[in-house]
Amino acid sequence: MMEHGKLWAVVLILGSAWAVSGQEQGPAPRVVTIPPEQGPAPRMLRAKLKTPEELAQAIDRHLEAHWKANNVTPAPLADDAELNRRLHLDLLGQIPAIGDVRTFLNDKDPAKRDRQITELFKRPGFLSHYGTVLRQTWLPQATDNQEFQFLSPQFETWIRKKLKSDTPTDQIVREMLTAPTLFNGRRNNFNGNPEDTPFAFNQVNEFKPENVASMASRLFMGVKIECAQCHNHPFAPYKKEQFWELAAFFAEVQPTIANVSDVKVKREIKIPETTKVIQAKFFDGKDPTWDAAKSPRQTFADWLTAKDNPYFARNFANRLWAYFFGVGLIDPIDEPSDENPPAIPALLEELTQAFIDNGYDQKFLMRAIVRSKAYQLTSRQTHPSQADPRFFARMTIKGLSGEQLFDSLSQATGYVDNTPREQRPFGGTRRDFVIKFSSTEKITEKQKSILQALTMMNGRFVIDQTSTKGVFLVGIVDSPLWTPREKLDMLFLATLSRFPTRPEAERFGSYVEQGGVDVDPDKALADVFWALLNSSEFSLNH
Amino acid sequence: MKPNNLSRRDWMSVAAGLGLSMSGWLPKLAAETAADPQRKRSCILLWMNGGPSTIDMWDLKPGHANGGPFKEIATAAPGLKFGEHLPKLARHAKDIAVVRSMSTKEGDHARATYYLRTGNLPQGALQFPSIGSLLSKELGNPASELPNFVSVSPFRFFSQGAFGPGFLGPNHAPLIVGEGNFGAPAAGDASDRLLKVQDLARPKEVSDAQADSRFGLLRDLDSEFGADHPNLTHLSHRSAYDRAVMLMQSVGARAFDLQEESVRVRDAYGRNIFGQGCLLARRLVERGVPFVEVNLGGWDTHQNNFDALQRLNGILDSGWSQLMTDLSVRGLLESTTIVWMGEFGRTPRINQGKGRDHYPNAWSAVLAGGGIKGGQAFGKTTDDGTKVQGDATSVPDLLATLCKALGIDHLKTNNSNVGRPIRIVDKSAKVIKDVVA
Repeated sequence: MMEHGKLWAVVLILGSAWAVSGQEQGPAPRVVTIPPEQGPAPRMLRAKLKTPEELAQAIDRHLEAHWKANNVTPAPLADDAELNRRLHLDLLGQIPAIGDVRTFLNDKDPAKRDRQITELFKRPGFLSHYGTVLRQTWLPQATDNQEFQFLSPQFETWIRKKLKSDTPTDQIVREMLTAPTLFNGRRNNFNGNPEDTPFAFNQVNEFKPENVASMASRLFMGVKIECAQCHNHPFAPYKKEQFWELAAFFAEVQPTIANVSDVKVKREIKIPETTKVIQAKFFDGKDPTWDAAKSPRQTFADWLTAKDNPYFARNFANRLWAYFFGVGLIDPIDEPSDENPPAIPALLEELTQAFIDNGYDQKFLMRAIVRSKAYQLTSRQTHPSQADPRFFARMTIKGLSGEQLFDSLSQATGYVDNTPREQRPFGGTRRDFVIKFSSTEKITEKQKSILQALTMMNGRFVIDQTSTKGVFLVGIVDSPLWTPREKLDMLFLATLSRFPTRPEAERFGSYVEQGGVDVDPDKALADVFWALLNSSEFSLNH
Repeated sequence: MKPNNLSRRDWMSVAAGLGLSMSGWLPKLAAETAADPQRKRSCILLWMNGGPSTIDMWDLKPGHANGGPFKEIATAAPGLKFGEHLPKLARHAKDIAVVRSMSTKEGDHARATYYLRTGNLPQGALQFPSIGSLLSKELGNPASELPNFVSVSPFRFFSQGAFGPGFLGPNHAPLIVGEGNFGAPAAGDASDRLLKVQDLARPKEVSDAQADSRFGLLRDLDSEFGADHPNLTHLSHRSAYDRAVMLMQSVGARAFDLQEESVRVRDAYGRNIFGQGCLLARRLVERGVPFVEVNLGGWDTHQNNFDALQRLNGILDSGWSQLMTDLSVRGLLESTTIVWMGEFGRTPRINQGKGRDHYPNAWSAVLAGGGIKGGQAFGKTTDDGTKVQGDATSVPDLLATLCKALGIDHLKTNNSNVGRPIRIVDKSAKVIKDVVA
């Protein structure tokens, strides 16, 4: 695989080549960033932003200034259908049902976008989907490694409970970083209900202080320091000792140390295969003030989630931005360095401060981001200056997770999984499909494999659902009320969540009317349905 | 990733399903493959999941209590002896080098599987690629109609990551045929069914003409979307469909149709998924596929080690020896390196259930064929089999030696998912020069 820079170069080249004709291509633009103090309003003087709407407007101001400073022409706003599909995939993890599409498109209220956003956050599907998203982020091992897959359901259940009760994010993270470590043996024999705790976090990290510390640093500080585990970091100023100072806070996740009564032992760690013992120390170089009533992990978690911590809120705000745009304001999201400055520093500051001011409420930031103009831009490229995704001048195109793809296929085809609920984590159509289509790549660079394409083209699931006897399709072909063109509309609405364009209506409409190769309009509809489900527009979030 | 290697027009003709004889589409016959000056080497990994008892196969201890009931037999290579249940392989001994000095420290199935198959222990978020992905990336042609890495009946439960492309991404993922299992390999006709590419065949209810027509519709949809949505994920989608359609229509995909082979040949390989997998490996290497792995499970012999070993050796002996014979007859053995290994060996001491337990301290791996100086055993274990005498061979040493035999610079780097460049094999590796031809 090419390095990220080169990958983007490919896109940029293709992007410009494919851009709307007639546009002059200038020399490669130099990115101009506006320092935070010269931003629309200095942070210290600014009043707290109390509503998502206010924050959305602030986001818009920052981006407009950034586009202007860099001569970027942003793409126009997405139309209702495009935005509605995107909101459903991002917030509920699946495309909208036909009814949802129609209702939204027919709604004449100018405030309908805001209303729809408010509505979607209240649906049970939001907790379900966003719980999966956080699990995918926090427990990537359970996606990759079959050994840990069984831990996903209970961890997701725990997260959903936290989200449902609106537990502030700092509290959720504190609970994760101080999760139980005591086990009889290393597997399932947990004392208590595993769904009540995030113990799986320690388990997927194999109860190793260095693994837990790497993940804690990466996920919650946005600092990837695992290279420093073995040697001083070659490109960033992290020393090997710094890594082990951090790992020392987590010494007690090791079952053998957890039971040691000497508190000092829990505050230090021996670097493996050396005799060196390292004392716990904060990442900013300060020595902790120990409190006998607090475990070292609690001490670390308190430091991390303090309001003046320079990493926690900033990283979380950046991750939320990256969730919706596929690209962070700092990107890669966990490699802060002089070579990787924020694309729009003032915007990142704004989001960070709003996150802190509003009690570390993820949903507050999410509600604001999806209301922003940047989020609501079309994903079509209408000007070459939009090619670089770091300008956020058109919506980035994201791959779907295995879960999103399967749930969208089910939504489009009316498929109902008959596997009993309690067995679903361990088998059944959805799980098999999800495993085949899951990966932990960056969503803007998600690649498809030959086997995945074959499964979509020839696999039993799609073939059955696109036969004229398929659950959804049978209702369409058998309907006496609709004309062939109306039936075609239904297929587009079910899959791409939009009506066909005029050229599409011509091309596919006449195909259906003529009945395709077998001169059978029903079979021709099935052909169109198959092509829609296999299309790249269907399998991407745009 | 590989950006669309096919031009849009090519894709259209592929998608149109006309079967046009585009250059480079015809399967290369074995003779052409062997004679092709551009040909790089191929590698076949015979992966033995569960941890094979190498002390009963490659490094016997006759006369010692740890030796067990098996006898040594002479091979075609003077002085080199194998276990008595590998008589057919013994005839190929001149092309086989046994590395008796493996010492690998990791005795847990999952971690050891990851270690031997990626060259690294699991390390935080780093997703190390399996050796198949790493080597096929070096040896393969990204535009070839057949996949560059085919994995036959892998049993991935221990460590999913050890069988995947890791940070190299899906373009370097294996094409997997037949899921393996932990126990005995599937036998008889079941293997024919299992060795087919999943979903490669178009379902019967969709006719040729209908499929063409569907691809036409799909092409129109995708072209329209791609025109104003320039994007990597879209390109990857198109590329995967291109390659999938190419594979569906390729003559090369006939490699997976083992019924083209005579009953005599198929019987010689053994009528089980491993034997037939070896036959498939030969057919793929004939068509220029650079990396094929064939899996054989059932080696976790904590009990009744010797009964199980006798049976497994029979399966292994037929499949592997016939593979060497066939490659040799076709002139392909010189350019095909075979590596045989599991995740660890087994305890020299025989336990109370006549079994042997996990033992990474001292065990054997085997290299054979192209680039290998056969007819020898490298390294040595003590008389009781518990320790390596002299220099031990590490996992990186073994993999670097394999790279050397294949003409690959093992110090070459790839960019990883954590941003730092990672070598094909760790720089601590020492190539075993005595084993490389």
